[in-house]
Amino acid sequence: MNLDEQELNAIKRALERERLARKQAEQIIELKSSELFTLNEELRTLNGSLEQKIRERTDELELLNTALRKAMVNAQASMRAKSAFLSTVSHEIRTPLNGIIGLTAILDRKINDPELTHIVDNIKFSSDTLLSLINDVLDLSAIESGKLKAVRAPFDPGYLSQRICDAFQHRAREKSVELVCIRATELPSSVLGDAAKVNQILTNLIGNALKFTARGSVQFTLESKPIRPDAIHLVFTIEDTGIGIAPHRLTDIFEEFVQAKGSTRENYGGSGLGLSIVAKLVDLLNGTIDVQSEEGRGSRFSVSLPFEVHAAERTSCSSRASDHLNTIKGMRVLVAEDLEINQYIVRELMRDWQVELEIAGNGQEALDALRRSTFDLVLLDMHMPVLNGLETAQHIRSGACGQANIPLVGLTADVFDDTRDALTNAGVNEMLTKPFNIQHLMETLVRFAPKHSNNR
Amino acid sequence: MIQYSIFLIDNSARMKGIVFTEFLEMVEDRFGFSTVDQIIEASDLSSGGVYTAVGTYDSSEMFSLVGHLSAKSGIPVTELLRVYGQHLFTRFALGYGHFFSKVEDSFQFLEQIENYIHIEVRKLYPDAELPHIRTERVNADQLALYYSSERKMGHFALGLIEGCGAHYEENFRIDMENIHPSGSEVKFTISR
Repeated sequence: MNLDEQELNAIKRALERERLARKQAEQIIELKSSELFTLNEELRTLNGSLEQKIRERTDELELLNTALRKAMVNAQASMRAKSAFLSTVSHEIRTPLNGIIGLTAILDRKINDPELTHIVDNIKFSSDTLLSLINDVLDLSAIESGKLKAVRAPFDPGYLSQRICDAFQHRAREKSVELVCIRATELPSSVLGDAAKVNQILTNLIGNALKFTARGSVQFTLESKPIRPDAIHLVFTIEDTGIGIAPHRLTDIFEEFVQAKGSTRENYGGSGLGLSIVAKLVDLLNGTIDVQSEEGRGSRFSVSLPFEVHAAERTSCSSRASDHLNTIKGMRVLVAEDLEINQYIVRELMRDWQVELEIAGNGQEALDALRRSTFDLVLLDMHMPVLNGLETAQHIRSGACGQANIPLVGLTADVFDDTRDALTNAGVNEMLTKPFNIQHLMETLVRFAPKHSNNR
Repeated sequence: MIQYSIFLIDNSARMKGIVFTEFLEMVEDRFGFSTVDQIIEASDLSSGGVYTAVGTYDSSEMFSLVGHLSAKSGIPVTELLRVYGQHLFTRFALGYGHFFSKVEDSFQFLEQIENYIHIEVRKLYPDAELPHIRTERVNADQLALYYSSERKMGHFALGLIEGCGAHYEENFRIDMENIHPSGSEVKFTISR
């Protein structure tokens, strides 16, 4: 193949260009490689410092976490301490209050002067208010500490609701508000459950309804809805024509210390704990609570609680006060109580009821009294010097002084269930919470009155 | 001066080396190596006509080379750009096979230029100034492709579309219509 010189030169130039291009490419690639290397190094350094930073941040977070956990534990401990303090103080207040309420009751029986009666009524009202406030605080702290348990005992729901209704009729009449109580006819005569807590729920709700209703009516309805052949829901509905609750407040009225309006406290008083306790009790009893309300028209609270139907026959219920008096007349009761005020109150009450009473200043004296003579019933205060109520109960049940099976009723200001459990285990038949209601005391005596004592 | 430029131009009016190397290879294929030598010699090139695909060069060198090729061959610049488009498509098909792997026909390929190929190009060349391509399927065998670029390289785009048809062995009839008189917006109606 012959190439002319021109073509040869062109090829030479092309070749030269190709060679130069190759070198240029090699240079560029070298440069790019070194750039990449540098970038890589920078990345590695960055990576390293990033890891370091993550470690530091993690350490910081862990420290913070530990501090937070510690703070939370401290806060919880401090909350428990405050709750315990509140509970202790409340207990301490109840003892002197017990004295005030008891003495006021006695004073009330002894005076006829209308002016003095008015003053005594006011003392009664104030001390009752104080007592219910303290009870609220105690209930709430008991519920929150998990100490409150639902008991299972047979009770007659119809009778319970009747009693609650009766108890509120007086207040309703005073306010000229009609309190209507409606009981469905198909109610079981006996269910298994915690009557005291049901009572507390209803007392709170009906009390509230009356409090916030200036005119019109409060209607309390009890119905039963079957769940299974042996179980029912009792539905308690309390409907009033009172001030009502604004829609946006309906969700938080069950919170502690919340009242529907800031002005509610000024106008109506109260601790703001009532509904919170109700909600917690309903929860404890596995029930539900529902509220409907219209501001200015009224509110409707509906509580539904599950119960097992108790097969036992209807417990005999309503007895009149005069029957009661007749039943307990001449009953022999031993009271172990160290506080003189309380001794005085019991003595006064029992004298009115014509109950034969002996008072022991402590547990040891009570045991001595039991050795000397026989009684129908022993009322045992729990906090006594020398020998406390619990120890005394254990001694009596051990048969150390005869009459080992005598009915024992404990008197305590302590509402907590574990205290009650301990007493029950020691053989105490029943508990009366101080300051006790005169009606309750009488009913207790009636329950333990010997059958033959009726017309002694 | 002819204000034609070519794709893959960065903001500083520099052009990727591959545009030069592919162009010169095409010229060599179609016009012979002496033509390559002549247009390089005739142009006053600061690079001396030495190009590598990994370098970048002043874009005025490309205008100069295309201008001299047109003068020497008597072929208009627009036609040269079209032929270069056809050539470059075959080079793409060889070098970037993965763009074609899941594409069944030419219309499908053209339809995914904007949302797939251009996105991939930007990953490698963030500064690349790419035309805006929009397609409309008129029917199964007719596609409208709208080209829009300030570089006004509709004829280069035409070459690329033709290259695409050839790659898929489909007979294209292409109507080219300037939407903007300057050529910055062009509508291609492709029938097969």
